[in-house]
Amino acid sequence: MVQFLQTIVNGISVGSAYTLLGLGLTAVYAVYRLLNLAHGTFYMVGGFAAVLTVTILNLPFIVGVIVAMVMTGLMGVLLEFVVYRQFMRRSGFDQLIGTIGLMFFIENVALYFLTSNPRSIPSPVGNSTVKIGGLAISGHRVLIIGTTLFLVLVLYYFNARTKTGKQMRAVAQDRDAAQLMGINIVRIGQIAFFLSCALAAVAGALMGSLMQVTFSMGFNPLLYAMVVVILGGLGSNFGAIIGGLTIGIIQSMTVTYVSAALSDILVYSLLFIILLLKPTGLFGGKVYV
Amino acid sequence: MSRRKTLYGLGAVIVLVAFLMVMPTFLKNAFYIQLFTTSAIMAIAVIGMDLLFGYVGYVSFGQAGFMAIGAYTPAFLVSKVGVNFALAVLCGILLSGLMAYLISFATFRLTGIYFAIGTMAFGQLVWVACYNWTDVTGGVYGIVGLPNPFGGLTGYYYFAFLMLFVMLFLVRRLVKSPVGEAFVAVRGNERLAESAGIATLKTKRFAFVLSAMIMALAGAMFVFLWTFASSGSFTLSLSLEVLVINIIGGVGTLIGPAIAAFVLNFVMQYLATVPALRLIIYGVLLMLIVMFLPGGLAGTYLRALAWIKARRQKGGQAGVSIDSTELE
Amino acid sequence: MSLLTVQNLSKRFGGLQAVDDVSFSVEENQIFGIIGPNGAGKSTIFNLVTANIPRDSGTVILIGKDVSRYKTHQIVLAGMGRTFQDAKLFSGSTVLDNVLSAGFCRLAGNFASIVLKSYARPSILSREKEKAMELLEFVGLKGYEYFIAGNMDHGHQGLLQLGISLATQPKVLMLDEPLRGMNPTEKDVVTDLILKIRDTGIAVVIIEHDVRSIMKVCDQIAVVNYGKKIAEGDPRQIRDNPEVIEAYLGAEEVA
Repeated sequence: MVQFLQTIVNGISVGSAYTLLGLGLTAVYAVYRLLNLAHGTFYMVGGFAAVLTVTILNLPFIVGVIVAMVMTGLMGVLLEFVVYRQFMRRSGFDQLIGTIGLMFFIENVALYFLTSNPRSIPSPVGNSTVKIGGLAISGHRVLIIGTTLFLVLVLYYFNARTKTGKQMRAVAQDRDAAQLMGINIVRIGQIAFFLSCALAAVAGALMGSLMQVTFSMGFNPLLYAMVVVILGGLGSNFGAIIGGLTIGIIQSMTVTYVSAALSDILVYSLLFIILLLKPTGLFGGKVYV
Repeated sequence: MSRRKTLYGLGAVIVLVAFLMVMPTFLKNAFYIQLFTTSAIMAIAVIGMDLLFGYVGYVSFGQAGFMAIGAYTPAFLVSKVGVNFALAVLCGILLSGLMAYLISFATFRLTGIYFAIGTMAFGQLVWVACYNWTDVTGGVYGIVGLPNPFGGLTGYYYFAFLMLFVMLFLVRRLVKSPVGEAFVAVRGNERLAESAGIATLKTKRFAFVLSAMIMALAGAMFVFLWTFASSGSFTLSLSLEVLVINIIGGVGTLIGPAIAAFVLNFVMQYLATVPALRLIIYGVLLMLIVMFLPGGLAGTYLRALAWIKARRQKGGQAGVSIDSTELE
Repeated sequence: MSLLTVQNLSKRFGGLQAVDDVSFSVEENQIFGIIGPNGAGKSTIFNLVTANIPRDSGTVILIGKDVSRYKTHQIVLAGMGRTFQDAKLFSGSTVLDNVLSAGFCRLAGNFASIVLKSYARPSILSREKEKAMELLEFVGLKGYEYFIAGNMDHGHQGLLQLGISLATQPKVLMLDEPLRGMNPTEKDVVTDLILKIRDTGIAVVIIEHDVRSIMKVCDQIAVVNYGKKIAEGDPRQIRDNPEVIEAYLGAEEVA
């Protein structure tokens, strides 16, 4: 029983990372209607930014996370200007293919300059464990869950209460109408990208302690993140949260009790089934709720 | 098409074929022969991809899955069961086609990006099976020690090019026939195609199955060249690489992607001393094409030709809007 | 002999009964018009007949065969051609290719045979091209064969749509607002063509807003309002029908 609960909690912590990734994908999708396949690389860049800040500059973990967020976010805005805006002139497919090209580019530039040596970020909470009623949960996992919860609340507040957030929701619902209402959709797009990359970067930084930071670290998470947003419904934040946790728990349970292979099988089969039964996902169709 | 042009074209092909046939004797260097051979095999895979993407308009991310089926089946049959090479490869092709047929009932309920993601899921599932089904696929270690049925690299070289030309001929004939028109109609406007009497579902399924079978052949040819079948060869990256070459070569032109397979393979050998550079270049090329050159290299070439042709005919250009007063 | 019999056609979209128990019958050599105010459900009727959307109820009998369970392309093969309101074309292809694609379905009985036949004899394509050229001449697009469909003006696109539907060798032709967006000259060309088509033995069903043209061309007219057929008769009867006049009161009809 203990192991069961432990697995669930692990699943929630992994699921938190997926949620962050899913929210990032959703942000860009909502504003641009584009599934950004390069998103995994932002996760990776965040991880690297954090690991370099912490291990080379010897700055505290929290600084590493912030540096990761800001740097990756700015990188996202730059890319939006240089690359994504050009993609948007083309058809939906071409856009996707462009993002694949970007993914190849970023991932391998990282490989080239940073080599394939995996690194790891020492966690700010070290090896501590939190003991709740018989369960011993790694302190870092608690940190991940806590940070995600915090960010989700911040995001919710941003969307629901701030002017910019409301503008973003407007753009997500109807680009043209939003423009006619005087909303600067270009700026909103930039903010969406910043947000998207920042979220991915945090995920990368946090997971960089649990897993290795390496050039390809974003590839598999991206695949799973795609399942997350399809499951949750493209364009729905709430769906990304639910989807992220679900996939995280599925992964955790299958890896612990059966094997990693089953995790892949279940997740991809689930993807297939969702596409067949309800391609819009659990909460899709409602844009950016 | 004027006689002279056809004759020229035929002549060019004959020269090319002769050149390729004689090449191995000049290039004693096994490295180059191998390079040409792998390019030819990749060209076959890309032709299969172009059939589905360029002509019917559906992007798949699951090519590696079909290539894996086409590779592992003969690998298993030849090494563990002792089946004859040709028969084993045929089994792989048929099995791949069957799988494509079966999943088409699911995948063609999807369109666009969902289709791509769905096929990706399939490709991933196949990969997981290859990685874990140790009894049949050798799991992590794969199947090694596959015999080269052509007794040497040169023999394989000829085999590869023979298959390439056969595939090019067969597929080209297909797309130039009424079936090809149906493909293009489905790509252009699926609803209209259906209302024009075209059995769109059957058309798409047909293309999908054919595409899978061609890729299965390529998969088989790869592993017997390498003499081993490993799951690491058939990942999503391979699917994407086939897609990339298709795009760079020019979607919907068949020859463009085939040539691109060669060009890119060679270019990569010189530029990409490090594996990372290879994908960096692919990435940049892809982005450039999306941003500036839709239609890839072949498409740009064709557009350039059309532009030159239009310049020659002063003021006359197909597709100019007509004033309705010209209507009788 | 009735070429097309539609009975008890109904369709509900959420709270709206778009088509309510509509029945009509079209005879050989007849031009049958369907008119009604905007949003009356006319295009929906077409979509239901051709199985572009699923029916809640109703049967369709085409040339004596019950095609109610057929998929769209099968209905087309059974002898029904149609055009769309929003000029659906293969806009990136040439005019000739547009028509060729549609004629493809007549090469053989089923898909597999078509594949085999067309693959085995590549010369088929040149014969098909000839047929297509003749058809283009018939509809008045001679000389436009190599124009890109999407670049033509609206009038010619309308003619092309007719060409595409004719290429499927229909016995019944369903035209959805063929005169839409056309000036009087273009309208005359199209109505003449419709008459020409009728004279070749094809029955034509037309949805239109231009009541004047419909009155000129049709033998029988049905009037639809709020998804229900409120009247049917020859042009004179329809013109004098008080319910029809009332349905159109307030609605446009400038001619």
